[in-house]
Amino acid sequence: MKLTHTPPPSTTETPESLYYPTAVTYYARIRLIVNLLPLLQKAPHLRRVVTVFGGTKEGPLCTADLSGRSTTAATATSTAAQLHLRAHTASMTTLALESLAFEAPDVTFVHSFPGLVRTNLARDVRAASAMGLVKAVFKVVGPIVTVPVAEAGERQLFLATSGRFPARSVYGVDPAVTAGVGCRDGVGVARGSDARVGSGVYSVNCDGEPQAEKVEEAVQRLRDQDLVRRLWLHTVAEFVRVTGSEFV
Amino acid sequence: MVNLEQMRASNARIRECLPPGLVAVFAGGTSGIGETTMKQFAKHTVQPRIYFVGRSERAAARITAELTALNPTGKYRFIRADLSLLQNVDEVCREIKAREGLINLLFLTPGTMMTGKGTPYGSLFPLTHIRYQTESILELQ
Repeated sequence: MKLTHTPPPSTTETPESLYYPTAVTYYARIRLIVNLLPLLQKAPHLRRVVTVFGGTKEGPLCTADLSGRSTTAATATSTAAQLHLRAHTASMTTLALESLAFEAPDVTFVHSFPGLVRTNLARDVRAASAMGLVKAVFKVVGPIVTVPVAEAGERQLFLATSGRFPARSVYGVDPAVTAGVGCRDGVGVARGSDARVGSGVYSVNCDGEPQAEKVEEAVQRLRDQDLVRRLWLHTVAEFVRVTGSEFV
Repeated sequence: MVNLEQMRASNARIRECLPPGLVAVFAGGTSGIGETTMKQFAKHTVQPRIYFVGRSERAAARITAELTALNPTGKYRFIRADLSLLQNVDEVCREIKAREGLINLLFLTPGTMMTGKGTPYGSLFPLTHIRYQTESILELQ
């Protein structure tokens, strides 16, 4: 048995000095998008990025510490701290996608929420603290609607292929072609993260439904603080610090 | 709000609306939401070329077999990498760029986790040290 690259349990720092939770849910993902964006822009069909994390769950950003470390300073098992980190990282994600859409308006960027997925895998999670924590989280989250694993995949496939989520604009390409499977049966184009229909950046839950008005307003307040740009500069600075390049 | 039947109806039309040979990259495709979506993608497309990135060779072998059974016309390539390191992310991207000139879909799920056994556990944000414990257990399999 070999534990490759997995940091020891006592630390939440990666060897590249990133905070592990945001390293895998934010920095790595944005790096993947930035690196592969030119290939997406060459596709004659679809051109879609879906990042499954916290669509519609955006919240306050810890602007003094964008890495997210400060949000869980209290304790990693604190439910409130975990939800705070999720809201922070969800906001980072959506705002970063908005930056990317400036650069590539011919690509669709979807930030989705997977829903609460019920699995009946035989896998045994033998961390008692995990069960206690998860139960505590669900008390906070409220009534649970769970979806089976296969259905969760069907829902995300819809988000990945439906014309409900077109790109903002396409250069000389028939929009119908890159939008994917055309909308039908009363399904319409979705409201984007900035409240504009068809904006090319979408924050949606597993029902394909965009963010609530309250969340939309919270994210607008972040934009008003110039955080789209500040966050992008921070992200690129981290990329350069770690790898020496803005992209490969 | 889109109901499940509408989603399924849309998914059923992927084959007629999108061409064969779609190229998709699933980062985090060896478990959870990534895995289940990847399988749905394979099921609904013609001759897909799927790259999936994760840490577990063993899971990858199982998943490749399952994908091939779901859609024998597809090509499935596993890239083993720990995406918590940006240097690994870059290596993965170099490999994909060496093989493909375009990508239709990039689907990202690293860091999300599904746990549990018949109880309503969700794809929650990774809970740091708990994640290490479960990942360690999973790597032992």
